[in-house]
Amino acid sequence: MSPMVIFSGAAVLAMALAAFGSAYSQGRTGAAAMESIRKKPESAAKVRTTMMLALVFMEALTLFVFAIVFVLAGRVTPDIAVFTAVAVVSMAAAALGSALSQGRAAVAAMESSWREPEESGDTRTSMMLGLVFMEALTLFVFAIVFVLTGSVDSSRVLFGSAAVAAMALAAIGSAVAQGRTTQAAMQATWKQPAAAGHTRTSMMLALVFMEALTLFVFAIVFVLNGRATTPAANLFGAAAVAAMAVAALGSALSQGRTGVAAMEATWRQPEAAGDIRTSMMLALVFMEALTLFVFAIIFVLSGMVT
Amino acid sequence: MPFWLLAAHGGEGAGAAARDVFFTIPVVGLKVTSIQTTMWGIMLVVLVVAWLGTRRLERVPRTRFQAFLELTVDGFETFFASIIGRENARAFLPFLGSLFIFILLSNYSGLLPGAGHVPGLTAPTSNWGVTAGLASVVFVTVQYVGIKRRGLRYFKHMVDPWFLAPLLLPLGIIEEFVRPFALSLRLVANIFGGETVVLAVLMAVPWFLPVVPLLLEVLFGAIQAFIFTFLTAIYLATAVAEEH
Repeated sequence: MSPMVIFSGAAVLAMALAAFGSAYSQGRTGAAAMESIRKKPESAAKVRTTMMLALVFMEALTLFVFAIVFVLAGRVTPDIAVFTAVAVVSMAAAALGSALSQGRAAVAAMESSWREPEESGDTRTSMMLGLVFMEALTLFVFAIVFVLTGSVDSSRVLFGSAAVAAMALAAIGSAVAQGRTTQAAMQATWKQPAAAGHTRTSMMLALVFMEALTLFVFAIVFVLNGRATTPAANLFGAAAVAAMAVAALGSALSQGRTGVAAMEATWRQPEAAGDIRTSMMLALVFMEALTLFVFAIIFVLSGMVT
Repeated sequence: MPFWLLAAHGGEGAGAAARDVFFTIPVVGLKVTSIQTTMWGIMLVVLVVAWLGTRRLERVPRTRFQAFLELTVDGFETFFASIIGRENARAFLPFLGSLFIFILLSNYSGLLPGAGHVPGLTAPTSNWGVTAGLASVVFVTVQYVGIKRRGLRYFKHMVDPWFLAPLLLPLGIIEEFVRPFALSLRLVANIFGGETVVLAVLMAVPWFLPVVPLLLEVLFGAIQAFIFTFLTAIYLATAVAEEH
């Protein structure tokens, strides 16, 4: 099969996956916005602004995949055809993860807008914050594909492919956790409007921890990319990034559960918001440390392998 | 492609710049890296600001500058008091405050134009050596404060109940060393990771798009400084706490 056929096949699949994710979430968001307007027609303008903002974020995700297909199309050679194919599909997987999580957050924001119209400004700010974090996850994958495209050659296809797939897996894990946490924060905003500020601060802290997990995978790929010069180092690099991704996925899913529980605790017991936040952060720190230990061991071992 | 973008293609962009020797002190032959010069710069900024602000202290602040510094210190104290109690917060404020300000400025120094690529300017906290140094200081301080305040009782939590001591003692000792290890790693991985992301996005799309990771970096820089100090405060408070 010619390299261009492999790449093109993967590229159309990737575009379809990304478009599906964006479309599905935009559909859910649009429907939720209609419902919100039906229940509180007087705040229609505010709901519409919130909806538009959410739709733009989801649209951009498919555009990222489009951009990476465009960039890679000019660089397909027989040597790296497999890498380019894996890269576009990984991008699409990350975009799909981000889109579905953004949809979850946006739907909750729409509901919050009609249940507590007074707080619709607060809701929108929190939603935007959450969407930016989830958007950035796909942006991280975009960036790593770009970096690797410049350095992958026939001897490094295995490492490059493993690296982009690992990034996608980590991004999906972080996105799922962030989506759930943001959704819970939206619900907390209308269930306990008085604690909206507390909820947002806790949400932001939780999202930073979840974002950091994908950032760690990014950092290790970047470091290993500079060290994967021999066949042995290549093989080690591929195994190492896969290991990092699994660790990050586990930590992310656990952090998501903690984040959701913290949001719920905050609206049920707003006067304990400070205590809840402190406990939440301590728990998140432990889960993050697990991924960091994998990071450290890879960092040390990669020096020995080369 | 500009030279600072090319640096990323080696795969070790931020790391390679960090190890560059900026200059060598002539007589003794000590090698000074960009990280060290950046830390000197940060120390200079902090010292000058503190000196200017406290030069002519008044009981009732006469200058806005003094009022601003007092508000900052008071804000730190109120914040730490909400986590570890007023008494502890007051005792450890100089240590915690210095840590926070130093780490914050270090993280933000990486956001200055050309940081990591012009000689003499590299975010110190993007280097594991620096964060390991900071975490070592925290480790020594926690042990010192704990033993000084509580003597041998400080070690009691590792051997209590006594029949579990063979299990608890090794675990307790490992935990004491894992804490600074994770502390240093969390900071460096976040700052280094953030810098590489900004660099990579800049390489891919030099217009508009880098604003997203840059904004996140501004947020991360502050929050990582906060988390480092927050955890240090909790470790200190646990070390001096009498039986729970």
